[in-house]
Amino acid sequence: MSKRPLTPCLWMLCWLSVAWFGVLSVKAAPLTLAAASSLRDSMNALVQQFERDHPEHPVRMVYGSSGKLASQIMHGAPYDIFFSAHADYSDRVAAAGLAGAPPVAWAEGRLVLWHPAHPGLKPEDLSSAAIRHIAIAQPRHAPYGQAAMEVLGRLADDQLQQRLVFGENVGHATQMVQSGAAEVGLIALSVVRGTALRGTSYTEINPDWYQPLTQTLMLTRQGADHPSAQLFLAYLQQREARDLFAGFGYLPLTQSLEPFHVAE
Amino acid sequence: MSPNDWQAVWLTLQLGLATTVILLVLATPLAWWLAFSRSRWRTPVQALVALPLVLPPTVLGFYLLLLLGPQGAIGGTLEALGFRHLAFSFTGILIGSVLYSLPFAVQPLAESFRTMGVRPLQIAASLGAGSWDRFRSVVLPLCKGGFIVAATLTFAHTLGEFGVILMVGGSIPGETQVLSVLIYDHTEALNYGAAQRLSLGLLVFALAVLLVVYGFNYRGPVRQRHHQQAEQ
Repeated sequence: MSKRPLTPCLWMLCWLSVAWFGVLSVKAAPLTLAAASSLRDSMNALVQQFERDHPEHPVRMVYGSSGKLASQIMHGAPYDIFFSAHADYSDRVAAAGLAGAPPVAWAEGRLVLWHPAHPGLKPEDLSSAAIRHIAIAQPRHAPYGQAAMEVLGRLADDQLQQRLVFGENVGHATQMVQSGAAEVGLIALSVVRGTALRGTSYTEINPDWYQPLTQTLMLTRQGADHPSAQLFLAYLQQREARDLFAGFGYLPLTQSLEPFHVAE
Repeated sequence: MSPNDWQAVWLTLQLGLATTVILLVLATPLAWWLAFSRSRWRTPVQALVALPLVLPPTVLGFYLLLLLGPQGAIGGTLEALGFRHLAFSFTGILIGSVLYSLPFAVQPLAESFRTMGVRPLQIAASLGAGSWDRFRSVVLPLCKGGFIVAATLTFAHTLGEFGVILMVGGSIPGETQVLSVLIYDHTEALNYGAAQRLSLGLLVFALAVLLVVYGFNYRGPVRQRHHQQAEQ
């Protein structure tokens, strides 16, 4: 009985696939930015402007919780610049030896209570029976989720714990409220200022109630070699970029991102 | 549809096609062995092949991430040799897809080889047909349905893959952001219109594929003969 009946055809298919990968692997990678979900709307707006001004420097975006992105970088993800919603996560990546330049704190984020169907709701009203579900981002790897837990801890109502539903990141927590599955969410100010939610009702949380959400950005070791990285970092420092982020509720922290420039 | 959406469509098709081609090449000899071998290793191998059917995709994705990443046995070796490791790359999600869709290629093929049996090949051999000739003019036509079902199921299953790709690939546009991952990303961005369009497209496609598969399953003459034999 024959054991190997298909050799020639198989070899042809093998070589075809090898040739295919050869073709796939030669394309140059665009500048890849990994950013916290809370930055999605503002960063998309900025990248759109950047690509309009510099069409020869394509950019691709990856969004996720800061903790997830940091963990991906530590597992070798090809991200050139990392925008974290908390200094902790960029510090961890730097401690792992994967920074191209030290992280820089550039802005502070704000937590809000988003309540599209309950206008005027205050954090103290979360104990009301009308609120059955409170959506927050997963505190173990999402900074806004961590801040939300601090706020809830301050309200000192054990019942609230049972009402929590966890999104994978701020975007996912927002989606839970948007879909009506949860009544309210503790999410980022930059998200409710985004195009999808503009005009809906929210209450800003007293910033003293949670640890500062220090937004950091960090050039990764891989990004240090990318031809578009410095251009993008310079673009970030321009007035227009700063105004754009301020429009999304970010409080600027630095006058200059100078420490970012890698010594040649 | 935005350029990013089209990019994901193209990437998904590439992944599906590459997975199907590779799996047909790998699965044919494996299915043949499973169909006819009397080795005591047959049952363990059969179980291994079927494992992706019951294993959570996150388990497979987790192990692959460890293996293919810069510190992993495979990724680390590649790095040491001066290549890039495979986590968060197209090759990485391709390896994941091949493993994840393995039973969808092997099982229909093994089933159709078993149904054909060894008789037709013995007759062809006695008439002087060489091994390649026997494959081309006996196995291929008799098991055509099996090959078509294996290819379509593999392709469709790869398109529906989510967990493995999310873990091994992240969600990098043009590299690892396939349709299923992009839909997830669109919903997180509250971009429901785009998520709707892509979801509807995949729904219609999946239904069309299943119609093809069941069409071949029930009309295949080989299979009917097999059922009659089984009843006697």
